[in-house]
Amino acid sequence: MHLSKCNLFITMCALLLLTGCGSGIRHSYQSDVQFTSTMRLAILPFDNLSGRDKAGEKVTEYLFQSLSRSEKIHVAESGTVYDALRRNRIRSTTVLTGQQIDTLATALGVTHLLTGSVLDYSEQDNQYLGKVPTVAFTVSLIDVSTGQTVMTATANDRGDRRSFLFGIGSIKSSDLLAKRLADDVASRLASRVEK
Amino acid sequence: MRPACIFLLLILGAASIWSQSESDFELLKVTALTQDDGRGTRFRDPARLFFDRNSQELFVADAGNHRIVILDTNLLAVHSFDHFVTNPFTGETTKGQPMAVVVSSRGEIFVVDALADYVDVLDFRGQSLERIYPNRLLGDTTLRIKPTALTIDDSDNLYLIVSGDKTTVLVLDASLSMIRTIGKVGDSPENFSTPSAIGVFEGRVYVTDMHSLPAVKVFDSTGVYISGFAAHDIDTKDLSLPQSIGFTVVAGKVVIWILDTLRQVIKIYSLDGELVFTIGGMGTDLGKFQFPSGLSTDYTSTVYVSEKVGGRIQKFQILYQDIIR
Repeated sequence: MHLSKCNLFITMCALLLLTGCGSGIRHSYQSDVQFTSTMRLAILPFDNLSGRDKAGEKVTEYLFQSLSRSEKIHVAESGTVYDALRRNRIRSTTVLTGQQIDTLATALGVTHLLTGSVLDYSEQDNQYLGKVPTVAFTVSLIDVSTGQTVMTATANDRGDRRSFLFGIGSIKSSDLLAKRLADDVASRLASRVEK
Repeated sequence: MRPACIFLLLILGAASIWSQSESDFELLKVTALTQDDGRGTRFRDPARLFFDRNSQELFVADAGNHRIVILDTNLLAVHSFDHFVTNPFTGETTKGQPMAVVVSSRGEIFVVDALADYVDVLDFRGQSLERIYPNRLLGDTTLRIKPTALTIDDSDNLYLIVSGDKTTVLVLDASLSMIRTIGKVGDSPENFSTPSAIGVFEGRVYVTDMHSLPAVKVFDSTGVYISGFAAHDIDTKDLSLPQSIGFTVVAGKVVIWILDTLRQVIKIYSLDGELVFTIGGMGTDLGKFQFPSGLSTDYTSTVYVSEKVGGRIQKFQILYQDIIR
């Protein structure tokens, strides 16, 4: 009996720790959506609402790196995407009209557009942990054939959420945290693609 | 559905602006007005404006909110982005205070910021591409000079007012190489004391000055002084704090729009410097201003005006074309 109480305590502690290790990503898919291996994706530059210089460019770049590693998804070259946006003077990528979606799909030869906004990209001083970064961004995946958003995700994490004890395991930089979140988003998206 | 905080006011005859000198016809009508960026953030100390005829978009230097806001011709928000500057002493990147903006035919955005000693060259989304340091263009990096106003012509030549250790106008070609300077500090009509605004139209360069005379100086395309008009006295044709210049062609004739922040009006002159009309006046009604700070035109029938204290952008439609008789 004494042993089982101890086990229960350890289990509770482990659960509490695991809760703190959550990825901080909330995904929402259209219920029946399953992506095929012919998925061709263009990552549009994220809008930067964070107030931190180049936060949008960084998250876009991390997502590009993470998704490019996936063998299931073909990702359009970022220079080609930039050129298509520039030629068509598409400034905001979070508010796209149907015509703009069609234009980009034709110019880039893609089946999906990935876009989003960076909401937070900051580091706060903590007297025990030093710098504690916070990163939050939203992601939307648009099916260009229908113009509908088929997946949304909100990635939101703090550097100390993975901290085990006395700051062990915490992430000290926003860049690293953003990379981890981008990896998470990419792996979850790739897991929806049929082999 | 656009956010409700954007006001698109289609005025049916209620917002007529009447001339001070003429009294019986309607010259302008306010056809749209906005006070925010479409995301609920109100303009704070908006400075100068630039209407890009290529993209049919209005660029607002929203200084108090540290950003550039891009609006369509109905004054609905298209995009906005923060403008960041580098502190020359600490090297830190902080939010800036953009004061003036122009756009080239290639879509490059040029921004003058009150907190920077350079002109920022941005891409179409506001990403920094390069910086233009006026002191480097003048070949002396020890000069402490800042850009204060700028304009661009149809050939993408950039005209930049700089002040500090040296006060002059720099003229840069489309590749951003310096072609010439115009004027210097001095009392003669072709020189400057405190140049405040610059405009270019049909090969002529118009520079306003807050202190020296004449208040508006006109140069040809090679930088040679041609003429000037208006003083800083109390006459109705004079100017107190000219802050922005625009041009329109009405009934085949060019008129010059000069915004006077202190008198809360816009004065419209003929090319030979005759005052044709004055519009505005202090107030919160449509067509009135609370310290207007910037104006830009589409060169034909539309004039956009920003108000520093009022925090508004108003769009005026020119109704009466035959204003020069």
